[in-house]
Amino acid sequence: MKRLVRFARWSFLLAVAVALSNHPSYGASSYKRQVAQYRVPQLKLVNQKGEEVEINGLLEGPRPVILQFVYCTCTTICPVLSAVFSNFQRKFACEKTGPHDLALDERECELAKRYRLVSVTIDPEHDRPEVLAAYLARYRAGPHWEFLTGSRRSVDAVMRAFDAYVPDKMSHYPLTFIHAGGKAPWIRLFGFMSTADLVREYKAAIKGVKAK
Amino acid sequence: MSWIRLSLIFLLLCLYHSVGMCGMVCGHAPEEIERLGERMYREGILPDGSPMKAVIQGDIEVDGTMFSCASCHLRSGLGTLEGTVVSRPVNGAKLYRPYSLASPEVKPKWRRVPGWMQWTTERPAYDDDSLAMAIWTGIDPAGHRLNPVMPRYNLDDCDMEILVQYLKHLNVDYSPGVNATTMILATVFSDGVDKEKLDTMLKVLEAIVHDRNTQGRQQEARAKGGPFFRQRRYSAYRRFRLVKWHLTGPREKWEQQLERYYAQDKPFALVAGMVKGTWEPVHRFCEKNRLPAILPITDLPVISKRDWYTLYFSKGIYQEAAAAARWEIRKHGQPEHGKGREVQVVFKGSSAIAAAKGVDDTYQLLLHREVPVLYLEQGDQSFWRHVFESYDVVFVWLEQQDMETLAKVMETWHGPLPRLYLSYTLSGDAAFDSPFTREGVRIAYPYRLPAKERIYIAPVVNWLKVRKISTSYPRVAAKVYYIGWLLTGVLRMMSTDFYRDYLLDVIDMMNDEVYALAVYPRMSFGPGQRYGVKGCYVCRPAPGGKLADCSQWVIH
Repeated sequence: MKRLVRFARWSFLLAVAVALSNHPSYGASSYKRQVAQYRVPQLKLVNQKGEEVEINGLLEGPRPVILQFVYCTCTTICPVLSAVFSNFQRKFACEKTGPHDLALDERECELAKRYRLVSVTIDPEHDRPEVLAAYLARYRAGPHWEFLTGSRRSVDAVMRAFDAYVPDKMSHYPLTFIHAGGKAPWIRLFGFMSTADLVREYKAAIKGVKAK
Repeated sequence: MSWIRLSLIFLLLCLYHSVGMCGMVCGHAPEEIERLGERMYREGILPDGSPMKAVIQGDIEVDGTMFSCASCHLRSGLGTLEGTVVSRPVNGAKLYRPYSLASPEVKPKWRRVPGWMQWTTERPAYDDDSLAMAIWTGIDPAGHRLNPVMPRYNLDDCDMEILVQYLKHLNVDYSPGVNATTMILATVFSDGVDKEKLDTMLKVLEAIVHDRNTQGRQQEARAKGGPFFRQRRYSAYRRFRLVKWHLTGPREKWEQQLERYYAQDKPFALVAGMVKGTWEPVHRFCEKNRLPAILPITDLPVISKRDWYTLYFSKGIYQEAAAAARWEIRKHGQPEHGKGREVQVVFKGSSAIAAAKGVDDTYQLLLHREVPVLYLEQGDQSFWRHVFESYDVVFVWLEQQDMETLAKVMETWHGPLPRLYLSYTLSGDAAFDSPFTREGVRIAYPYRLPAKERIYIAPVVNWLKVRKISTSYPRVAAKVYYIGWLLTGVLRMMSTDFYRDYLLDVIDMMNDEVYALAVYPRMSFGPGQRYGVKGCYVCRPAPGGKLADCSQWVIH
């Protein structure tokens, strides 16, 4: 009898778990946030204009940076990530209203407005500078948005530095990294975000607080 | 009696009217709907020429210039899995039937599963209205909310109806070349190709077909009575039948011959293939008939940004030349004024003009200028002396037999030598003759470096030995062997979705290949990418056919 009760209890729990797992809460923000320290390697990548760029100078300089790993012929993940960047450019405004803990003061506003969006390709064989430039044009990238490529070895090194290495472009996942500049830690965001999510996380990173 | 006659006339009029209107959407005829729907689906452009607008993730505004339906659901509409995101099939055959990700044989046979416990991967069949509703609101007919990365499109009624009609008719029937038991594959070859190379290609293809067909009984038995994966995996098994299309006579007659072969036996795809000169006639034929051509063995592919149906190993000699040009520009930058200019030398009438285009396109792209081409007609030593005196950089696109005069001049030339670039595919062993092993000479080398290639090609050589195939062209064998390897995996992925476009979509979505293709270090496709291998080494030819001072794999 005891065994039967135990079996029934476990069956019930299993059924509840299955039912819950089958109904993901789509619509609600489902990204995960981590604070991390990364050491950016000292190497050069090439931007959409064909110019060499010191990656550690770009990513660890005084200006705030938002970083993503994407590639130009990607089907599902990168278009969404790049569309967030595209919308962020248009929608980020340093208004001083909003949730009390995310209202930026004058100095923070000045810093926040100097953001830089950086996309790094994970398909460097195909994504040459001219391909990157065409991609940025499609997403109406402004002057704050840089798209970088390089040798396979360099791109792999950058991916490894951010614990984002994938041996194959098809197995990548949606990641966004925010760095408030200077010695601030990196914020690692896993999953798809809305523009509002990214703006909130960015402001929180500038203020040095947690967004959610 | 008269009211019966009147009724009949009325009925006939109704019938005529309904036939006349049949298939019309918002005043567009069916062919027009297909064209407009295809443009919406593939390019994200509305019938009025403006981009489609949508919202993703709740507040991200996107439009058709950024991406389209085909970006995620692919050209075939069969969908994809990338990273953590599944894009479901949206072709007519799948949308208008109930959908379940699980195989029918593994689903519980007992009572119906209550709705609240059902997987979100289950849904009833769409109809036109529920499909439009899903595209507008992101709610499927089962009431599930689609993933928020699926755009919610802002379309008016007419545009929506066009898109729905396009999806309804997208890949409904299987493509030609497959029946219940067999898949027909064709290979094309022409007169004038090296006999041993052709023999190697055909023997390896036949061995692949033989290997595939020996599994037949086992696979067919599993499809009938196996406990798992019957419908999705084993019932997808098809034996191969290889047909050989031999092209003869002048190239202008090839199209007619291809049409004739095609009318006799419609294949599902072309595999490998080898013709004298450029692959262009076959390429154009495949585009016209929407027939996939998988990795022909050619150094002279068609270089195109839009064509879709032929997958090439690489851009061939165009790529070697472009890599040499990129390396020269990156290494030495703009030449100084004065003598400092580049030139290309091509033997008149030679197909090596494709290499000259590779250099020209690269210089146009990176430095916005052309590199002139000098046409060599015959062995004229004064020609070469003039070139050496006048130019800093010389791209030499000569075939083996045309290198003799150049070698003689180089032997006796004691002045400063310009930087000289050769192509391994064109010049072959002649590039390793002693005059070319001087400092300043570079060769574009498109394969794995020899020490590594020997390791990677060993399994292929063993495979050939077991099948009693001997050849002096292991690279040809390794390429064709790879096609067999690729087809096995791709057809397993395709399951029973035998659509030609899907074959190409699945290859596009494959992982980057770094080991099964013995002769190249890396090969990767992606949606719309039609040349798998994108780089090249630039080395110095050394005595004994060796390579020295090799660059990294040049891609930029």
